[in-house]
Amino acid sequence: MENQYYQKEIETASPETLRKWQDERLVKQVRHVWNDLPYYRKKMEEAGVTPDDIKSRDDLYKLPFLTKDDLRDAYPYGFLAVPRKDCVRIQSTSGTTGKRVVAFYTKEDIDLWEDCCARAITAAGGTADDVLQVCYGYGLFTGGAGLHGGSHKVGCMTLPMSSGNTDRQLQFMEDLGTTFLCCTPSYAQYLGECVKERGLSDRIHLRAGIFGAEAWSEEMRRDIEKTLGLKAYDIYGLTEISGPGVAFECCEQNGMHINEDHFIAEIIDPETGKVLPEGEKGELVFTSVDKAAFPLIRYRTRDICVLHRGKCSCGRTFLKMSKPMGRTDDMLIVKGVNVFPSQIETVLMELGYTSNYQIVVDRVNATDTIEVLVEMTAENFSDELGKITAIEKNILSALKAMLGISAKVRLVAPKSIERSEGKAIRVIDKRKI
Amino acid sequence: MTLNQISVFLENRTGELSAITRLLSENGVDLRALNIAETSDYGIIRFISNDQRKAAAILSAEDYVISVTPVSAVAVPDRPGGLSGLLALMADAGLNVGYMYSVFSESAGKAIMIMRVEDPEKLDALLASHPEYRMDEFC
Ligand SMILES: [Zn+2]
Repeated sequence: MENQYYQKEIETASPETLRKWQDERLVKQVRHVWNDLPYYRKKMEEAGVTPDDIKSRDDLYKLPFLTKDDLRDAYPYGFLAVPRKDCVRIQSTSGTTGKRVVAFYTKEDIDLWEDCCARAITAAGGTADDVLQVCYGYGLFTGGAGLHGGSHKVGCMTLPMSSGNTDRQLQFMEDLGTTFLCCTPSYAQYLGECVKERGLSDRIHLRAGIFGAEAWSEEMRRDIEKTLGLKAYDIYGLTEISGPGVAFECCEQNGMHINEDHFIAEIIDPETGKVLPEGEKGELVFTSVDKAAFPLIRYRTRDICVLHRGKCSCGRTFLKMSKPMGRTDDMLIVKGVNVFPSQIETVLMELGYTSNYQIVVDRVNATDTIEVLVEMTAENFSDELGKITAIEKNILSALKAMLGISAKVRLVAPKSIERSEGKAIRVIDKRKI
Repeated sequence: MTLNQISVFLENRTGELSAITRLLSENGVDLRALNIAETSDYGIIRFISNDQRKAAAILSAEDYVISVTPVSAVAVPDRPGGLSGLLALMADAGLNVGYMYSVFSESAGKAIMIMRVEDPEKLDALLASHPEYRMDEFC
């Protein structure tokens, strides 16, 4: 199949051209926030930086970061950077605690966001011939609105189903001949199970789907692709930066191209805030360079990932980001190394320990120790000690390879790991006590 | 003869072993042979009882991880070289012993051993022509 682009000249622009766009737009954007966002101007003043100090993206590091706390502080209108009459839309994050975060959009902001989603749909093979079913929630959540807008732009016949009512989802999917599906990966997996159970696979005609807004594994991807008979693509986004479509997967399905004409991505060390070289794992930071109503500079996503620029067979020149590997909130620093519970979980899952585990970090004789408690499973148990110690050694070496430091492994009895309200306590850091 | 041995995963904590033996005896299960293999953190209890099916059900209901493995019961004459004769015989037949342990009681002046071999049927066949090592009844 020939590569398809929604905006070919942008998506395949030379690195020099991309760079030029970013430089020009960033300089302009910094002036915009300096003039129109007193909250950020104050931060810049505190950091001793003025718009004159920002001449290109090389100067980006001089600018202060923004976090979710800043957005909560300034709630509700503190980050609206255009006159209220120019703002045409509000979306909001699904925050369950504390104040919500509200994001503002001008007509042009909506337009560029929908362009991003249209690029994602096109990269996943979507065309005007598709019947595209959106079962993301509509409303304040950006999932429904974003993919809906992108679908219109591509010219797909759009089915704005919103979330829930699985019977109706499946009925429409069958009757209207849905070919393209957009929803969360967990809902896609659930739909796949229903299709299998009800024997509908011959009656549905899906060929591609875009699934995002939550973390999912390669294993889930294979499962969804099999049960729904489609190619499953990942998408990344966050309301603070626009919504879904900040980055999207292409035919290679190995990382998401960041829409760099609109968003500059950086990876920083979450502890020191220092920018890390390309290829290193750290916290993803975004600057939106041409959004008017809600122009966030150096917004810390708290997602941990790796950026990679290289030739992609799809022809796009945009930088690629890996699937987020965890959240900075969950990060542990052990012997000076960043460790994420999700990394340990991945190792255990791959070795067949799908059950419960717990990470215990301690400090003994001024040295950090990390121990992983793993509940024994019937599948991994044996009457022969040698077989069990061999499994233990496998876990040890896989953890060493994943984390870069040695962890201790302790096999424990089933259901012996503490739980709190039904949820296992994943991390115990004794160093803080 | 071939018996079903039950193995239980056990953390090395004081009282863990007695908790299991108490649980079994309270439910009318009598242990006939018991063996423990351990590391510093955990161990495997292997045992034979008068009612293995019941023992397995009781332990599973209490969330213990268990596995059931066929093992061989053999008789060892109570004289010098009694065991080495049997082991030599088995080695000649290519039967390796993974581990072995003895049964609490003895039978007609012979010690009874539980042996873990890859192929218990092969051992049965071998001992058919060596009745002095054979066990035909157990419990
Ligand atoms: Zn690509």
